[in-house]
Amino acid sequence: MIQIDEKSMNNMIQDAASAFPHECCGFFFGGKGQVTEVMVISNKRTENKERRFLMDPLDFLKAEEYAEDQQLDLMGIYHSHPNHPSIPSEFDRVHAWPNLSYIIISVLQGQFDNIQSWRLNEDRQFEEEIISPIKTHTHA
Amino acid sequence: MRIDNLKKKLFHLLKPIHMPSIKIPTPLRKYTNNDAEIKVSAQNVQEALIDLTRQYPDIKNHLLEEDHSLKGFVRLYIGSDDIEGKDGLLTSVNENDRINIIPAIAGGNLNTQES
Repeated sequence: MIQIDEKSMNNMIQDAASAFPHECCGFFFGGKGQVTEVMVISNKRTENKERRFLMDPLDFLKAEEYAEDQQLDLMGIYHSHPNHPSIPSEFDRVHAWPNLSYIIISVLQGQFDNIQSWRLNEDRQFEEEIISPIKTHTHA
Repeated sequence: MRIDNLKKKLFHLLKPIHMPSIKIPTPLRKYTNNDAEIKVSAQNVQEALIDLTRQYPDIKNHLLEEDHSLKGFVRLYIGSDDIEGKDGLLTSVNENDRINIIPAIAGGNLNTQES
């Protein structure tokens, strides 16, 4: 199971909707299985951005430095599937790294449809991990 | 002849052995006992990787192919410079260099290997 606070969930969904019809991408951070922060990253693909995303390697360095500075864990990577389900493609699987969560957001005609999280098992196959949304409490 | 051989051996022994470090990316720290930075004994990037995989054999499958070439989805930077713009795996490393192992991050909903 992966817990995601309300603000982080909204940030990822908003990024996915804003990027439509292109794929968005980014990192998420937190600790003890709970996502508390999101870093939006620009999709560096120059073509076919509706079906693919690519990050600049230096963005990965930036994300790791941020995690260290904030004493957070880099928990995983999110991206969107415009007009497709939130299920990893074979291309996603082949490019995935172990020990990270992969959140996929499905956006249909610009509207949020679904969000799911996936993780590679020992056989390099994706298994779904249940998302548990966490309400952000605000004090009056 | 013997003196020449002795000179060669001495030269090899006296070559400075550098101890640069390798920054391990988060997804691979499980294979280095969660250590983020590993000191290695090397004069170039290739030797650094060999020393890393000698110290932590479980990381090898995630970095190198069976023929010891670098896996396709792995990038190596010295600081913020891609070694592909230098001498590749033969790029020299110095004492204070930090080699960054960077996973290439890509994906998408198209269900083929076409990039």
